[in-house]
Amino acid sequence: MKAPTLRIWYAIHRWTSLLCTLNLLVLCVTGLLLIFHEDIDAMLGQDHHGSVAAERGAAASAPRPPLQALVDAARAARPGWAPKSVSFSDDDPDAVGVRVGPPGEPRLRNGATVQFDAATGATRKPGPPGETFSGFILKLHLNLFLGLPGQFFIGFIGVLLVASLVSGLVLYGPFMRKLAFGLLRFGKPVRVVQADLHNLFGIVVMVWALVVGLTGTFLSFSPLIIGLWQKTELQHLIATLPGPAPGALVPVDRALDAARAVVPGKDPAFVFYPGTEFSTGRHYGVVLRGHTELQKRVYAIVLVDAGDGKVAAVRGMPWYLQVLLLSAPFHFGDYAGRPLQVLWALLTAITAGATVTGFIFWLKRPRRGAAGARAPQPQPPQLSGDQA
Amino acid sequence: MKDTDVNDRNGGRLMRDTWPMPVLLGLLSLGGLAAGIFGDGAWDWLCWLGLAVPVGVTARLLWRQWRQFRACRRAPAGASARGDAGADEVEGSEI
Repeated sequence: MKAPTLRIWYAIHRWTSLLCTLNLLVLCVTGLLLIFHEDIDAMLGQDHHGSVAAERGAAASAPRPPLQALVDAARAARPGWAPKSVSFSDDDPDAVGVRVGPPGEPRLRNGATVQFDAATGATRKPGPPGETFSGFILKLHLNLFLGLPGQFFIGFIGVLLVASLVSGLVLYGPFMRKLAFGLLRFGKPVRVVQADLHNLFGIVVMVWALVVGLTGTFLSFSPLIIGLWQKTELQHLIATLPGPAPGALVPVDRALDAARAVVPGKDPAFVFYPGTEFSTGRHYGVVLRGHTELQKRVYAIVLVDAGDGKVAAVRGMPWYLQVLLLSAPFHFGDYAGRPLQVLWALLTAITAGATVTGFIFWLKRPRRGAAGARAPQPQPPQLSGDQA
Repeated sequence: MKDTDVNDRNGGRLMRDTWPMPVLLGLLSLGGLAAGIFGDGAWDWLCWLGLAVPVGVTARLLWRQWRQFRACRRAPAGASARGDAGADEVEGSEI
């Protein structure tokens, strides 16, 4: 690589890194805690992750009530509001949530969810009032308490992180060309020690940090990505499946059964009511998913006519929504048990180490006298012992 | 082409000495990350193994070289317990 090119990469690495340093450290610390959020919730007595069956205590003997009964109960709890969606847990068949909202309001955000024990039809006690500790940490991680703009800002930090990682990877070769892998020259000047540590930490977590950084960035921009789907594919479906809003809706159970009949072997994930942002004016939007770690992130979307209960269309997910769904496990590290959680935490710690050592390396940069402008920027390759 | 081209001059050496470990660790990380999602049991073990190696290598390098440094410090002046990595010639050349 030619020296001017190297200098450009060095500048990119320095500035993208410096811009995201502080925020990245916040993300590392909060992310570290969030890996173990279920344990933290349980420790603080703020968990509502226990299985519904355990919560219930006694075994449910009677046959399951129809879903429609849960929907009716939710409506009764919120008089005047209309059902918007039914959601199903992916790891607890008894946990069902019914979301209700103001009539005519398509956005799910403007509503409230009632949680049910689907085996008995009883409402579950709501989670602990107020903010949980994990909830607080999650907001700090997700959007710095700044709502959607904050979330996009974090996404931008993710873009900087990825740029910093890529430029770091480009610089690694020239920097390390005379140094053995993982050489740490303890006892040498601070800047040398920090550079050695930075190079080791950085290159070791490179692939993992790229994956976590890219998936995190993608997740940050998920509202835009879902919006894209709504404005393109969903709009297209609505245009090709015209029809007046039905006078009376068939029970939600019938819509779900019809959908499961055309896509067998899958579990329900969501049912969106007609007139919401994830369905048409006339159809239930039924979303089904598979069972395995991978398959439960592959959704099938079935539109069921709410007037006659017949399946109107079956769709897969566009690739970008598929990528979005698959981003989640690779960001959270929650897909292979406790050992992966521990490794995720250790890799987060090494990433934080690379961040801090890189920052100290910059802080200790040689400063020219006030006369200034005498010497150009320090040449990065000198650190690799080029002059020896 | 007045600029010295690192890759031309040192290309072979660069590929031989600089990249094998990073590439190996990168592939292990990538394989480990992917393995966990495919299934449970053996897949999970592959996942843990793939990601444990980079962490283990880092811990080992830190520990070994820190211990060497401490030992070297305690040793009488002049005696140098040099690391096997062998790049001590760079002393004083930095910055």
